[in-house]
Amino acid sequence: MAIVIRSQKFTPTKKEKATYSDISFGFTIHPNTQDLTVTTDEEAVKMSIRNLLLTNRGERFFNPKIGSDIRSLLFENYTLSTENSLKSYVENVVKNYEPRANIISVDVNNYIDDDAIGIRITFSTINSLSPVDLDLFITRVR
Amino acid sequence: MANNSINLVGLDFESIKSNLKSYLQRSESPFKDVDFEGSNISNLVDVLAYNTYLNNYYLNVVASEMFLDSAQLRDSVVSHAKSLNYVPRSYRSAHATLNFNITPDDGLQALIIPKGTSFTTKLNSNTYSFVTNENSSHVANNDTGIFNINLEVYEGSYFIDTYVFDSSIEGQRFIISNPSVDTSSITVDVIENSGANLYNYTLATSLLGLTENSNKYFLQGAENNQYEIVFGDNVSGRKPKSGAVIAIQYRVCSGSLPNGARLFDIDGPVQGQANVSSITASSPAYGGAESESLSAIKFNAVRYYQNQERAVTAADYETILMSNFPEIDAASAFGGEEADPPVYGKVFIAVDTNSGQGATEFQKTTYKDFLKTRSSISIDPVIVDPDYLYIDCNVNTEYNINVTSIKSSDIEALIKSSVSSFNTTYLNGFKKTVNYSSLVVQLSGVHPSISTIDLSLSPWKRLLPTLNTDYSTVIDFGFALSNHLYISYDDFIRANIQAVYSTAFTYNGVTCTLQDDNDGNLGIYTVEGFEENTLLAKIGTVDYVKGILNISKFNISSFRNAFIKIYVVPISKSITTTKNSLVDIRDSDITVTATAIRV
Repeated sequence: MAIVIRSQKFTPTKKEKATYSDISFGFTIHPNTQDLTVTTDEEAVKMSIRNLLLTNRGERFFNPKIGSDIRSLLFENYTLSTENSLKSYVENVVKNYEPRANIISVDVNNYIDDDAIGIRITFSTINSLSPVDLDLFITRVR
Repeated sequence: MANNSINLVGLDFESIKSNLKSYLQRSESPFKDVDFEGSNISNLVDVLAYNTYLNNYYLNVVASEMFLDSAQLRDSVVSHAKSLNYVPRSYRSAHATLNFNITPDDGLQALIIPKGTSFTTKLNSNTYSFVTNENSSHVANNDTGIFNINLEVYEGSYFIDTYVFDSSIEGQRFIISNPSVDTSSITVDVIENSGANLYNYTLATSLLGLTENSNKYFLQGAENNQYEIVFGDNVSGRKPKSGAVIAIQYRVCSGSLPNGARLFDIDGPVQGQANVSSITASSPAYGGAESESLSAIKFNAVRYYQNQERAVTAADYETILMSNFPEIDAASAFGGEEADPPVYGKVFIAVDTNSGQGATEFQKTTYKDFLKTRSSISIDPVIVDPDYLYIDCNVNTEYNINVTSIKSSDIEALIKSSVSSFNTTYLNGFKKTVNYSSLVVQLSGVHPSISTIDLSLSPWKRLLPTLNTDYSTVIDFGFALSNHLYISYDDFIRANIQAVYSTAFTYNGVTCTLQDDNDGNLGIYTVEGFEENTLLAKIGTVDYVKGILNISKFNISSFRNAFIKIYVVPISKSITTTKNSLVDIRDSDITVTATAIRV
């Protein structure tokens, strides 16, 4: 019986299958399998939140409500109100369209010299308690 | 539930997306996040679904346009009709016959009125121009020296499209630029050798008899409501030489708008003769029509293909007449063997025109000439007037005033309007049935307060006898008559009457009506005084089965109103017309009495 236990202990276990899996954003090729790279678990959720935040409402076919419109705030004066609106946009879009993530905090920083705003979203996925950070640095492109 | 195959046949975005998702959710799929809207794979699915949706929609439209039945674009319908050798009818000019005099001030004896001479008319505050369609020559009256002119004019103006024939261009097209062209007015001149040779090309309707020397052109529908001229290939029809100038002259018109115009003025002097009398039109302008509608092309093209422009069956006569003469609202053809008495070797065609007055003698001749060339040898087409069957519609209704506040006059107006609409919707044309139960059902639904409908239909025809002579005629109702019914009477109609009765007239100084005796005899009966309902004279017979009245030696001195109404009692409550009979429930023949009740 003891041998069996030791055997179990030292036998390499099969890697657990990812719960979430998504296609990688850049359509990169996996160097070994020559297949499309798959993004999994927290990375997949991070990418999803990022997509949602960078999507304007009305951009998606037949689903005009999806999106956050945070880009529209880039042209506003940076005030406490703007910061709160930004946080609210982020929280709402995640709450409505990303059921896998529980937001822990949203921090917004103003980078006046770079004409940019930095957003740090700290969240946990629903199947894990460990917090995950997603940093977004949004700036005007013209 | 996940799918192992993709089903992408839907025509809405959501179902396509759902099918794609379902496919991607199968167990071996590496991408599980398809359900989360923010994921890359979900974005990709959106793009795929949208692309599929557009492709499906496009294919659906393409497939729809591939068939005559389902095509919705005029270009597609015209193209399908082309493969059936059918040319959709173009706009048609309204035309009128004008009568006027020209008094020459220089003793002129002969006058030529050139093609394109213009006349003006006003209708509904719009001005229309009517032109002559050919040169016409006239001679002055020997006695008066005045030209008595009778002229056919057509609405519109003439235009010319000019092309240079270039044989090096494969499939060169000669499109008539104006879509409002009246194709019956097209003339095609081919000018070759720098004007040294002029050829007048005429319309070819078939390949029969065409040689390499036939100066014929073909006409076919083109895109954008236009028409195009096609020349022969030097085998069937002469092909113009390269460099030839093609001059296509045609008339552009306003369709049905000028129909009804009757007051005309000439635009300026004719060949220098300005002394023109006032112009009268023989009849108001008629025959103008818009180009054939899509539904009409779909209907006519297949039937045209069926009869190949030949009149063999009764339906052929009706179809080719209606497709070629837009002023015809309805046509009904029947063989002479169906007439009573039978007339073999003839086909009778009853025509109802949109003028509301039947066809004129000129129109009848035109129709006959048109049909003669398309009917079988030994068959003589005869255009007959429609035979109007009128129906008095008497409605007694009760309505519940507990459920409505509207007045009885409103209920009466609603019912009158409903009967009128029934007449327009279901009785427009030949061979129609006045369905008694359908009318009752329709009237019952006119207002929710209506509780009972008592409907009585009394068919009648006009009798317009010549007074003070022995007048004979046959009145064919076309349906069986009941000779065992008892009818209540009113001021003009006799009591105790049977299958046939009439309004009053004067016979030998006595007010009488015409009745049958239930035994197949028609007689003149008194209606007044002590000797009421006395038979004064037998004047014919009734065939109850066929519904035919034979009236002979009907000699009366006067009758009330404009004509005598001959009423009959049909054996069936529903009345069906046959042959050349047109049924009409006129507004003035509808009587409604609404009684308020409390239920």
